[in-house]
Amino acid sequence: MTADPATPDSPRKDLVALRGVKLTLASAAGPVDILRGVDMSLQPGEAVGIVGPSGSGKSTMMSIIAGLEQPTGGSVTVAGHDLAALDEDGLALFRRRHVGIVFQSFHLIPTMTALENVAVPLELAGEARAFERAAEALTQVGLDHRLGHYPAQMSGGEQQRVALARAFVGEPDLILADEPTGNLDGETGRAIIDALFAIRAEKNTALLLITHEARLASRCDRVLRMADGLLMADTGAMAAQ
Amino acid sequence: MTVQDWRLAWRFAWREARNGLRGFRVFVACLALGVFAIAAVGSLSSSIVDGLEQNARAIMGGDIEVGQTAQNIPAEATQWLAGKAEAVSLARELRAMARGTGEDPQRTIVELKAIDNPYPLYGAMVLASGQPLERALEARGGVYGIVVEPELLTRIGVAVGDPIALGDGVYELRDVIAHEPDRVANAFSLGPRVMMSDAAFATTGLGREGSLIRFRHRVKLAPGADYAAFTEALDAAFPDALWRVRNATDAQPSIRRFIDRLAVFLTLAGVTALTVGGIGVGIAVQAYLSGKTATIATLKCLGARGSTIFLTYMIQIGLLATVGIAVGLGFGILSPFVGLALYAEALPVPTEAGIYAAPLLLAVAFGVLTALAFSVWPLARAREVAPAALFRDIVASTRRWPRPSYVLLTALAAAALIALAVFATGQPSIARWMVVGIVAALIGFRLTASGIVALVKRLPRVRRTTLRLALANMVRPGAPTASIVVALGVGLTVLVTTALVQGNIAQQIAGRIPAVAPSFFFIDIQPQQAAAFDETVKAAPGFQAMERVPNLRGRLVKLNGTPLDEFDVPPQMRWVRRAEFGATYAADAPAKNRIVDGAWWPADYSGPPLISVEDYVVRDLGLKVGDTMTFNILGREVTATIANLREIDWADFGINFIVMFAPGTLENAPQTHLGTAAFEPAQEEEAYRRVTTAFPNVSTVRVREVIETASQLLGRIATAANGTAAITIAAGILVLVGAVAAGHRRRVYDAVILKVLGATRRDVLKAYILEFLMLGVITAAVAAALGTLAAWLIITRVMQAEWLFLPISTIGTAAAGIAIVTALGYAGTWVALSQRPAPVLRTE
Repeated sequence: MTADPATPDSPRKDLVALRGVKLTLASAAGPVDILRGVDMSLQPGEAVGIVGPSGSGKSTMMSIIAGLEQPTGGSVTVAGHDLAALDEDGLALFRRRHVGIVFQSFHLIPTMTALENVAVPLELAGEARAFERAAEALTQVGLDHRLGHYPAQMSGGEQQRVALARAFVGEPDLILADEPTGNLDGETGRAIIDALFAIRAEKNTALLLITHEARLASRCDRVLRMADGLLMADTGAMAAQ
Repeated sequence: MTVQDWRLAWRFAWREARNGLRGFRVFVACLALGVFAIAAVGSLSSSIVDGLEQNARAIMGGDIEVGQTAQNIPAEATQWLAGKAEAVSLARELRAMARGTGEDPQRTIVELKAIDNPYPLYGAMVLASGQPLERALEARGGVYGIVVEPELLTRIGVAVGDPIALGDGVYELRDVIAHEPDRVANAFSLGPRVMMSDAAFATTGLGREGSLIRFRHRVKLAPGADYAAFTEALDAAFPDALWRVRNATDAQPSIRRFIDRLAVFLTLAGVTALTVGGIGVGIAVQAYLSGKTATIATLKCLGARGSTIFLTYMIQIGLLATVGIAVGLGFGILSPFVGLALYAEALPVPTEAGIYAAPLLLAVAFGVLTALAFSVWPLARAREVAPAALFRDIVASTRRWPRPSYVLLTALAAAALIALAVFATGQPSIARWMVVGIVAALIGFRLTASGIVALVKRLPRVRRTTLRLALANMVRPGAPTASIVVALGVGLTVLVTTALVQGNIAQQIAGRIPAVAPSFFFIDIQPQQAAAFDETVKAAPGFQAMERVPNLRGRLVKLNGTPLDEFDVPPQMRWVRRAEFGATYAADAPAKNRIVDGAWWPADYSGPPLISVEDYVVRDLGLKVGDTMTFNILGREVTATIANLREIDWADFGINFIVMFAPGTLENAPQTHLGTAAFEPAQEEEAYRRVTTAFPNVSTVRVREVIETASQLLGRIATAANGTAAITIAAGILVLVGAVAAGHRRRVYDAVILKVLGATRRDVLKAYILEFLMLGVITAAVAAALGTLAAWLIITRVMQAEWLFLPISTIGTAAAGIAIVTALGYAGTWVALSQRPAPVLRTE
């Protein structure tokens, strides 16, 4: 059985610490290096933007931080947990308590209403007031009138706001957002980003944001550029520009 | 798994289920069909067995029956029975010839039964006119009445009121039998029943000593009397008795055994259908879960544990399985009521339609285990969905093996299914071989499917686009090739096997047996008639050959001086304790038997009794040449030394005796003769007329009619076998429909892309039809081979008969299979072809 991830055994300053993280996948054409030694750290409450071309390894790095993928080399520590030491159920508990994820394609569960979708992480955590808290979260993103609607009955913007509420409702330490505006028009996308940053600021949640848009990334505290499986530069300066 | 896991899983399962569980019709239908087949067979056979048990006393005619052939039981025994019982009744049964009395009357063999006044002790005798039996049989103006089964009227062209001659007397046909309580289906009854009073029987002259009369003394005991105690007291009073005592608890053991065995075959056929249906269950679960990979991945990202996900979907599948099993069970419960309401008349035994818990529970157990065995695997794979894929928007289920615990669970469910099939059906020896066959077929077809895929992958690039498309469709990931091949293959194999076994038996009956069998059997030729009888037969037109031998009845009582009861008789030879042997004597060895040990006696032998015995009887009793066997022949004990062993081919349809005596022992015992005669087919009728006219007391059996009766009986069994083969095929078709439906979205997309690229509907259709045609041909070919092998084993090993290959049956069945696959494949893909490209592309 896994040690309880809620009580870190070695408290550290970094919320996320990647040290020499590598990922190599086997393929018919020979091994493919996806990540080639990534070092990165993220402080609690910090917002970091990651930019880079398609296939550079951004999403893979994010799924490693979420404990969804195992690196083939290096170490990953998030919220004091060495992810390599956790088994599948331990990783599930870890995500439940520390990580919220926002996807480009929303990934709401089509058979559940907006309220039920947001309540799922709380239900999984055994929270007794799951539905009250989910309703509050939906009110916070301006969807108090849509609680009983199914994803198919909502616009893309509304669906992504449900996804935002779902990511934040468990009050995680870290939000991972993967191109959250990629499937939305400019106006709606801006509204979503405004909401994302507003809630993050209110709850002091750390954010790792993958995006193509430099303008969006610039709203973060730091911007990292990724290319060919390596973090090229920690351009802290970008935020200042 | 914690309570929390279960609670969450229930909640999530309910949220998914309330949106409707589409695509599960095939799943529910597959389970329902298999459960129905097992529940229906069990309920029907229970109804028949229960009917036999509830009416056991009426079927046997009393609480106890003391029966003996060729000689009545001694008078002291009759008195003993009368003193101990509430009532006794004697029925004499024999075969006799009935004829009209006009010019050149028609004749037929009948099953004659002479009854006394108390008859029947149990149950009611019903005549068509409603008059009491006693009145119908009384003497009026010196003429006794008889009642007959309706078949006699058409056989010899008589009507109620006509005179009928039997033996030396003439009787008036007074009524037609509507129901005879103790006439249980004698499958090989040689003719219609004729019933008369014992006073009338005395005037027929057929009751001569040594004639093949069965004397049945029925005893009615006080309610609740102890059968065993009565039998023990009877045995103690008459330790040397020859009779056979049966009580109502073992009435008709042969019918029961037959029903039990038939039920095992049909139940296992139901299990085969359910197993084939299980493939459909697996396909439906797989298809449903593959549409759920994004949801599963999302739940995992939100922190759901694998066990929560497994439970969530297992609960949904479990609910659907419950529906399928309940539907099958519902129809199964109805089946005896509906089936017996429609066909009760056709069944030779009384039935008690009812709800029988045991077969229903068995059906549920089979259903649950099938659902488990076929859905745990896809469910366990679903929990392995990689959530990281959500970041790339390519959500696909991984081809990972389930965790060991789920592999074990699947293996346990499969093992339990096999164990249940072998042991719960009550006939493990039969069930074992059928299960081996089913498992071998499943593995055989799975290997065939893998073989097809491996072969197609190795083929060089094909130039023709349609063929290339068809081949690609067969081997692409997620193709239903394996499911279609296995499901339809097993169904077709069952069909080929039943068609060939049936065809072989039918050929034996229609062709081989009549070629070697004589035209007639003659029973009860009196010794003083023998010479005249031979002359008449040989002088009849078209005469080819005849055989006539003395026939005596006896029972084996001692082996090497040890009473049979104390002798350690091996189980397969237990029948010798109860059976009455037919015995004969002869100076010369029968030409058709081969002496395998010892030597035949000289033709002019005179000396101590010698016998010649069938080899396997001696061997199985652990005896050898030189040992002695003691028989009780019509009350006299005869001890004889085994002089030689003979090998007998019972299929030659001539007269054969297990025991033959040397001359000098039995000549003076009461006896009759048995005979056979062969005539040219065209002259048979004239020969029949001459022999039966000259010897009205000799019962003459037309072998052709016996063969026809056998074919009819076989036809009925074949109908049951075909019914179950049809259920297996139906399950196979359901699986095929399910497989085509599961691949529907994929096919629509493929068809649209191909159309966008300029393919006509004809091109795409050709590719699809070619795909299903190839699958059908390969599956049918393997099914034909496996089915032929199974049928060959059944015919040559189980039935020990000669094998005839029947290519028409095999090819016909295989062709039907190909047609089914192609037609269903065509129907399933036609819809896909009709889709317009734009809407499909927009939603992709």
